Amino acid sequence: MKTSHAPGADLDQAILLEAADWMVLMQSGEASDSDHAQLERWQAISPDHEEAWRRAEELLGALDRVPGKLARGALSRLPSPERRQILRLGLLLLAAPTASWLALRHTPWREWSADLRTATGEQRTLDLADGTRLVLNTASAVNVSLTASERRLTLLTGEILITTGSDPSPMSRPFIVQTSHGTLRALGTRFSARRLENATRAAVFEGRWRCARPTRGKSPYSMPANNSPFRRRPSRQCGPWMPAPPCGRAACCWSATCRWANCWPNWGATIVVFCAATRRLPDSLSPAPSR
Amino acid sequence: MPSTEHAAKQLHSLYSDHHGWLYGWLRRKLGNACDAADLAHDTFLRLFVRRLPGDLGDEPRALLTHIAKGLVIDHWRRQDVERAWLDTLASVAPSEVPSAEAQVLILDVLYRIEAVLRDLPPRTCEIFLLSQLEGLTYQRIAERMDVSLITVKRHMRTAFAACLALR
Repeated sequence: MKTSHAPGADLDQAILLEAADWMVLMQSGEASDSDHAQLERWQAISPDHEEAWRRAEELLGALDRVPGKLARGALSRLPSPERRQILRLGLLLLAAPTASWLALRHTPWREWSADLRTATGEQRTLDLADGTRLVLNTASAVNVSLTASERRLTLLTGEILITTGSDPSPMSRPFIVQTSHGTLRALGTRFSARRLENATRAAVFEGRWRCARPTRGKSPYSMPANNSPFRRRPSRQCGPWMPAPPCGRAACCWSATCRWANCWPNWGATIVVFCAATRRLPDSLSPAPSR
Repeated sequence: MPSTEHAAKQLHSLYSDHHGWLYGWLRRKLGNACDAADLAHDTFLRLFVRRLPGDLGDEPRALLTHIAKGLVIDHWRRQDVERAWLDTLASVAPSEVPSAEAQVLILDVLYRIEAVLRDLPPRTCEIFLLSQLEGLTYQRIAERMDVSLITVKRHMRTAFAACLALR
């Protein structure tokens, strides 16, 4: 049903690879008239060649008709293999106690459909498959997606504290925390993120030692140590309010994708506040100056 | 041809012997009678298309279960894609929502892309999506990902070949 070619009789891999070569050439915009003529001769070699190119044209035509942005959006929403397994298992747990059902009824759907959540007054500590320890503070909800290429936590509401473990994956997978205000890529090993109404506030408690010593070069990427003279006010190294691309630089231990971000070295932590909507944040969101 | 007739007869007896338990098994797996009936039917269809029932061996149950399991997993994957698609539509302006028939085509392409990307390395997937869904030229992709043009082409070749091989 999916494709219209004759099922069963599958084409030789070598022919498919040649067809793929032709597709790349035709799409690269580098194909000359003689290339087109040669492609026609290639198709005429055998019915299988012809069939392979028919499939290729059908595929290119179909891809062409798809609205890219929507399709990309849908693909990015697909659960990771790990999550799929959880979701499948989740079917067995449908018979939830009535009390939680009542609680769920008053929670926005995005929060109750979250992978992990806590009720008001509840705190939960969990170990993820990659060795990360995750603490959910009260009334928090988070989606977890561990894929081959990244580890992503989507913080829907509340606050999380993360202590990254030694990832067993052979590839080094970036650790990403996402909220509706932006995305953070963590280099620290221990950090928290809290969703506020208009912004997300993150604190890095432990980063890489190399980043934590400003004396090691004057790189704007380095995180000031706790006794840094910059401690009492927004650090110069972090810069003033900055638009999205440079804010990755501003957030010493984080690279953030958002409209505005600022970062303060605070007592025992570096605080990053970022948001997507406003040009600058209300002062109330700034971390209290440390004593 | 008489051999086709024979095969059809064999399939018929296979169907009447095994449809009952297969349907029950699928129904338990899927929790849905309609989907179970569809997939039971597809299981026999696939058996018929793929190989003649003559070489089924003594225990057709094992083969039928094997085929049905694959179909159940496909079914779940398609459901995931459908759900992701509907969630995406829910988040865009009504004017951006494609017509119903366009959606059928789009979903079909999404099933295929999902099936292909599942087995490809992340970098190949990314390059394929940048090229096919975001419309970037190979040159732009090379610049953006800081790789050579020939590398981009190599990844595209792999992805295209995987798409073409998809049954």
